[in-house]
Amino acid sequence: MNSLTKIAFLVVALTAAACTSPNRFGGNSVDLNDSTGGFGPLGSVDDPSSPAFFNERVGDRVLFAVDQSTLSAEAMVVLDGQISWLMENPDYAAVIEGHADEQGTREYNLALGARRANAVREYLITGGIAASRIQTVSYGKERPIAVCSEESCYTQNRRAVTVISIASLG
Amino acid sequence: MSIGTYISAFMHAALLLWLIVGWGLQHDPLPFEVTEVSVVSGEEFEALVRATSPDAITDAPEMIADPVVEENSPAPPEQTEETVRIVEPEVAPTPTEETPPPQPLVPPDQEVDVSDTVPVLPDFQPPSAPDLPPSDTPTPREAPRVAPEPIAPPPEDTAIDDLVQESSEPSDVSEAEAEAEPVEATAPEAATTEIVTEAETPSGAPETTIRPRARPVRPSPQPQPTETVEEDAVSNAVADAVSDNAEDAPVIPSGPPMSGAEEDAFRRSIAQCWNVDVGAEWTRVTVTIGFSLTREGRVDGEIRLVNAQGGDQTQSNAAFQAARRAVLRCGASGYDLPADKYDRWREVEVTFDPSTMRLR
Amino acid sequence: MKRLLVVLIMICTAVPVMAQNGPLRLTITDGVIEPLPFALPSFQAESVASVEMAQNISRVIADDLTGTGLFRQIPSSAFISQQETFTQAIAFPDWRAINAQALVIGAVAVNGDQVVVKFRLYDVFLGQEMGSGMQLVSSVSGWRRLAHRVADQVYARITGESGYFDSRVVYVAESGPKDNRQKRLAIMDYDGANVQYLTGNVGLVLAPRFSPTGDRVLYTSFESGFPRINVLEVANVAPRQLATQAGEMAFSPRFSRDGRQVIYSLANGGNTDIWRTDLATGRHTRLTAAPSIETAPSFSPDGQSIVFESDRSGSPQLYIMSAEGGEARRISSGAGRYGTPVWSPRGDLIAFTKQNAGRFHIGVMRTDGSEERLLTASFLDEAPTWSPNGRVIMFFRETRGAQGVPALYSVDVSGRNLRQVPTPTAASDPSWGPLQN
Repeated sequence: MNSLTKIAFLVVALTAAACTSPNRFGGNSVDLNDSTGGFGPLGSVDDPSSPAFFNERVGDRVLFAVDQSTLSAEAMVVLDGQISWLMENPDYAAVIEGHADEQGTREYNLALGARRANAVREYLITGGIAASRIQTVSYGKERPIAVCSEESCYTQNRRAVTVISIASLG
Repeated sequence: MSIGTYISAFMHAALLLWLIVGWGLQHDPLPFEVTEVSVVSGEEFEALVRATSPDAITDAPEMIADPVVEENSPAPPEQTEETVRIVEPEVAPTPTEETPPPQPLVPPDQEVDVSDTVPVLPDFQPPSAPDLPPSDTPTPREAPRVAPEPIAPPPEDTAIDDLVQESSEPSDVSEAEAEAEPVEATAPEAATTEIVTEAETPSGAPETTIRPRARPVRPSPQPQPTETVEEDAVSNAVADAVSDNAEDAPVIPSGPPMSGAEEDAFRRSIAQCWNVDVGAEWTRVTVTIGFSLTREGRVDGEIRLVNAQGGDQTQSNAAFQAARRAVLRCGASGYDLPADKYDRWREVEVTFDPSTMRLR
Repeated sequence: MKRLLVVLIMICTAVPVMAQNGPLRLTITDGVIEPLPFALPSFQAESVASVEMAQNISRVIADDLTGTGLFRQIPSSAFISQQETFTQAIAFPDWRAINAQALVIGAVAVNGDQVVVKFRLYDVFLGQEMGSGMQLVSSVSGWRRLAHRVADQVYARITGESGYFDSRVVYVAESGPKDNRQKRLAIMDYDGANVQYLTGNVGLVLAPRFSPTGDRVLYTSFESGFPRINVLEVANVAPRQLATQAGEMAFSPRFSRDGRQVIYSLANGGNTDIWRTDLATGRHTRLTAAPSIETAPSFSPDGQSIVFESDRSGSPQLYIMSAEGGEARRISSGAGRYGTPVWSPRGDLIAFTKQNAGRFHIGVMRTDGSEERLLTASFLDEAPTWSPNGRVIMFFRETRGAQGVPALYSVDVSGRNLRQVPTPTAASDPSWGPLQN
């Protein structure tokens, strides 16, 4: 990836998203993690330095057990990949979103999501990522990725998602 | 022009329109509307009523003169200055008009008979399938009336009448019903013996249902005065007896005493009209009321408050009113009491103790 | 000695005779629980222009009363005598005959932009007026408040407790699919009428809370990308961010009863604790300092204590501590998880959300944790809020599954009279404001 491509991507991303507010669930912002497969604003999945590659190949999310915020072995593997990617792509910063399933009150789930996001943040920092590059936010149960009311969906919703953005804009 | 251009133009126009209308944009200056609610004084009200009514009000004229000044009366408009902001919502909501009638008032169907049989455990599936509209409130087996004795729901076409004895009386009621709804039988309203909350419906286990129950800590249900009065009576009696005991004859009731069954029937006939609002604060109050009965079993004269325990003035008053309503209502056509024992029940004092029913 | 014996004999004979003397004494402990039947002949219209208004006001008063579950309206078809005018004498026997226990009569006049309502309430079986006649005035557009005011009066005179009909509820109006729900703050009358929106689509807004006087609303907003507490003036719909202690997230705010302080949750480093901010001085006080989650705080009416939710024991439970922080006492003891405690305005009960065996409940318990009663049960019931008189609890109920939507419900503190509150959109997170003045 040459610098020209990078600038082109930047421009596209800027125009599309207008800002990199982590509030990507808000009314008119664009979901950077919405992988478009081929060559979208996130770059090619096959380009190891593209956000698309991060989302698809490295893995942008880790899952948690009910009420838990401890990282599983699988989660650590994914996070190790994230650490490597962030090391190689120092221009990017990350906002870690903590989420919970719908079993629980709004207030408790917000706090639980904060715990989960923080668990990921701590792990990334321990892995050598500068603390200043990582922010956290919790959405509690407000933004499920799977909408059914079954354990199959709840499993996917108890998650922490690492959302990357260009550091200088973050 | 291409379709795209048309769409684009249309969308832009719509966007512009939206921006002009500004609905949903939070920082728009918003129109104000002042709602003022005020209460006029008693004098004003009196004057006003006089003005509109040249004839005297026959039934309660003196009440009008009462001052209407109340602690919680709304402030006069100039003080109110209260501005209710009205943003016209795009979806003009007129929800109340469309509110369905309150479900709990619908006489429940067959399931109501909760007497003592343990119901079959219902399925644990929540009744609402995903597609059901949220308005489809699952109605638990709740009868609007909770009474000591369960009453099976009446046949569909029966008018509900709280007082069976009223409907059996040939005078006003039958006339009334003949006028209003000609051929209607009446029956007591369906009643369960327990409050059935939604939370208790799924298991149906009797031990989890809320029977209005005794509190761990509660004021002594027996009103004190009963004892003290009797003590006084005893000491007075002794004094009287010692001095001259010949004069008391007219006070001593004649005839045989009321049997336990007779007292019990009397008690029940009042209790069925004692409506206890179990969530109300007045259920902290135990009241004793006193009244006289005519030979026909009708209340004669005023019902007095003998004693009230456990609450403040407002609560005591509400408890008194409920007790008084019970006696007046169930006795509207006269209590059925043994005529030969009139002297035993000519004077009555009833203590209403809600402590085993209350929920607060 | 002989004299004493005589006295003793006198006493022995006198006592049983005297015990039967005086009134017959009965004690009743078992009453009935049923709606009190009332008659409300449509209020008299004092001019042709008032006819529709008189009907509307009569209907709202009757709806308020029947909506409590404590009253039942007798249909006018059953009336024996019609109350033609406000000043006409009351034919009490006619109302007794149809078992009306309370009778409300009234009249309505529309004069230009003004509505005038007058009413009287009668205890039918006593044959007397309860309280005295009253007249209320408002602008035509405020007619619903007039009706609510009358209903509040009737309610208060019969129950001995203040009413709650002339009050408003702020809530979150929801739209859109479950995985991208749009949320806006909205305000409405307690019965779902007069909905107005307070925010646009500015990202997530959660859990609005009325101030004790109803002039301000606290809520959690994601407008900045992170949860922050906003305070909004209801009169001019002006929101601003509340200056809280710095942290990653601030949420779950509530006012103190005097409106001078705000308690809320603050998350830092993944740990959520409870803080208090004094609005006048801007001073922030940390009230809990445990590694566990402490959230959903609510003041007692006297401002001395705070009830909150904590998972320090391993699962979310309810605790009470001093308003200054410090040692907390656990009050919930049943099976399951407890959350969102709210102290009743009367001070005697705490309403909460309980999650147990795959179901959610709204329940109440005493402040010492005793006498827990569950009032509702469904797939998801959450966020109780008390009516201003502490008699009714409003909450939201969300249906199950991908199409699941929330709606507002109310239930009497006895567990009776569960009913949906109509709203034009899906709705959640209600907060019941005070009686208006």
